[in-house]
Amino acid sequence: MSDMKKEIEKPEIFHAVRDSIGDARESIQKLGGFFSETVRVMRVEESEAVFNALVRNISDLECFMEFIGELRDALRYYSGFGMAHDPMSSAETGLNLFQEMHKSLESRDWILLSDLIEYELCPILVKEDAWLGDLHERMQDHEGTGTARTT
Amino acid sequence: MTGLLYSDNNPMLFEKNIACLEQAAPDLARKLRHDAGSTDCELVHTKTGYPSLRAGRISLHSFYNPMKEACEWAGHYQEEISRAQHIAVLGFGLGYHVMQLLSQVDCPVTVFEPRADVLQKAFSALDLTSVLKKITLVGDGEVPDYNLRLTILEHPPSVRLSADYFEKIKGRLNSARMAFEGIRILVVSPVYGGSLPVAQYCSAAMLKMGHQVELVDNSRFQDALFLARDAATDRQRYRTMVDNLSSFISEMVLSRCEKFKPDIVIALAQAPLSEPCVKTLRSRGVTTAYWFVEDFRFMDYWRSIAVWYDYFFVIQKDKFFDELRSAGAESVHYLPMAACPDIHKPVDLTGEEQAYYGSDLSFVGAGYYNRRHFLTGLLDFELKVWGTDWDMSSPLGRCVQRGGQRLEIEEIVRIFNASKININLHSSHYHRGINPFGDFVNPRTFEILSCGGFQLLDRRTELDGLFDEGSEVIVFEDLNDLRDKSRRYLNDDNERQQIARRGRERVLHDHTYERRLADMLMVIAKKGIPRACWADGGEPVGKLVKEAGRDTDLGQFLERFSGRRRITLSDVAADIKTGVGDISRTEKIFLAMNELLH
Repeated sequence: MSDMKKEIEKPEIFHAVRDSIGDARESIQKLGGFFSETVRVMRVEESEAVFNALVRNISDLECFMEFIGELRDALRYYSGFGMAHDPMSSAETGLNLFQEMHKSLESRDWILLSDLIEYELCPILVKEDAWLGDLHERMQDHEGTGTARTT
Repeated sequence: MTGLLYSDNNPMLFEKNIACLEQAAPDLARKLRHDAGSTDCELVHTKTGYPSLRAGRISLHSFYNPMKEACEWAGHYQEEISRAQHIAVLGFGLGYHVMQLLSQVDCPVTVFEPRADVLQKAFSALDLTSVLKKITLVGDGEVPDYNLRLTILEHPPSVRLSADYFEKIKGRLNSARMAFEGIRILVVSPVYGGSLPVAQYCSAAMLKMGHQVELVDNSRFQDALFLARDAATDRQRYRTMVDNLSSFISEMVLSRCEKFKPDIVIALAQAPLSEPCVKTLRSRGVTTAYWFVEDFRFMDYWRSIAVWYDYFFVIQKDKFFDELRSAGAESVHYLPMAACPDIHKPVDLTGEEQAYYGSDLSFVGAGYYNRRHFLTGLLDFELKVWGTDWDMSSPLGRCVQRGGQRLEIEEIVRIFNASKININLHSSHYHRGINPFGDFVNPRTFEILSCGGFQLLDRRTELDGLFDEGSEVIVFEDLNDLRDKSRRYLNDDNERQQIARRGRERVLHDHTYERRLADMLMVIAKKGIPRACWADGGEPVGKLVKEAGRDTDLGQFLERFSGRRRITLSDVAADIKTGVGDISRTEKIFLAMNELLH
């Protein structure tokens, strides 16, 4: 842990974490757009192309969630900059939503799945983006103080 | 799960909807009222207050905002909706998408929904009376007859819920849709005679309907046929020469088919096709149809040819049907004559033309036995008789115009327009006046009305159902009746014109060649139109759509040809040219490519 702490404290690592948030925000905004478009088509067309697009979107979302997991690990060394958990990692929203999405995907209930994505997931993605924006801002402010506060 | 269960079905609402449905679909209304089978449907109250529906594990509408979802559904089909002439919607659900559709279109809409429990839930949850008044709701497997180009729109969750049913319906609708576009049809005309122009009208009508049509016009062989008649020393030799001519024409038709690759061949009465030719066509998978626009009592060659064809269409019913079935014909259908409004139309006449072609009474037609006798009883009227085969030395001879010359159709149209009263007396070789057993209605009946002309028509049993007697046409029973009615209507310009106007409206609505051919192709399409086994031209539609990508504009455009197996650039261009509405960017590119390459 102490080796890791030293690594994390290095300014270049801090910069890398901070800069990755900008990329992540761009990704999540695009992903939100892709999900919205896929849902729009999914409500009226149950084709292989739509299904493939949905699978791609979900796979991209998983990549994003992996990134968020790693980011969360990294943030532990900075006391999370005093921020609460990100919306997607919140147990009451994220987990339930993904379970429901999984169920509707299994039962091929495309309307319910569309609803969950359009009215539940997409707003969370927007909140997640805002949370990342807030974090990015705090990291920039923190950098301005000259020291990365670690636990 | 989101939303609350909505369980209080409203019996008053249900009754109100059922009462509305009862007028248009009493059987379905009865079924919905009395069918109390088990159901896995449940109404769900959504976040916007509108109900949604779930059947088993399938949600039929959004649980958040079903109205917005319906708008998006209609938006998705915007291009198809804007071009539609008749729409078939697969799946009713709670009807949100149908309501949205109806707010955008004026064309007829048929909605298919096999699940009685789904309809019962819908009827108890929403006031659907305004929807039910505007649609045809079908709850069984029957596909109604369509006489307009059909657009099929799917409500995907409903289609998945009743997948087997909709698979069958889609097959039937696609066949029905083919009746209005995209069939390759070869029309074979006779060498001469009354059905020669009918062949031309048929091919013109089917072209207008969007089909690919080629007419084999055999009138070019008239000289050969007349030469045979003049040269033959006996009946047997004449028969041999006619058979040889028929074999020659049949070979030519087969050659034309190999190039044109038709899916259907339609032969008009007296088309000179030999039995081996028709057998060859059928062995290639070509659907063959024959329109026997003749009096079966007078022309009996139908006895031998009716069994050659897949479909035999006739202008007489009842006894003829019995006789045809006795002769072995299996698929016999009634298809009365019609008019071609592009030809048989009102025309502006000059004063000179009015004077030349006009009269109080006129008759256009050949001088058959009954007509020669009957019309003699009208010599005290201002009567003009037009046509061939009249006895110029008889008292009636003085009424015969231009020495009994043959008339072109343009002149006949002028006569129909110019005459105050057009007399229509069906021909008979045996009777001195009206044929008391007359059944079929001749083309002239429709043509006079299509021209906006007024006619007095002899009694025909099959007139019933075609026209409203007394309102659209006036019938006479005998010579005295004709004389009385002639005097009456000559003295009442207004009534004469009103009857003629109503008659024309009826013809334009119900009795055009387009309507007849649509009926004929619908009969054929209902049994399915197999693709003929000609060497293939063009590209498989499925492959093209896949290559373009179903999500692309091009892919979606090409999807509209999914009823066909293969298409060429010319096919696409022809389809665009016969379409309605604005031309899209994709369509413009296709037209430009077609111009460049052809």
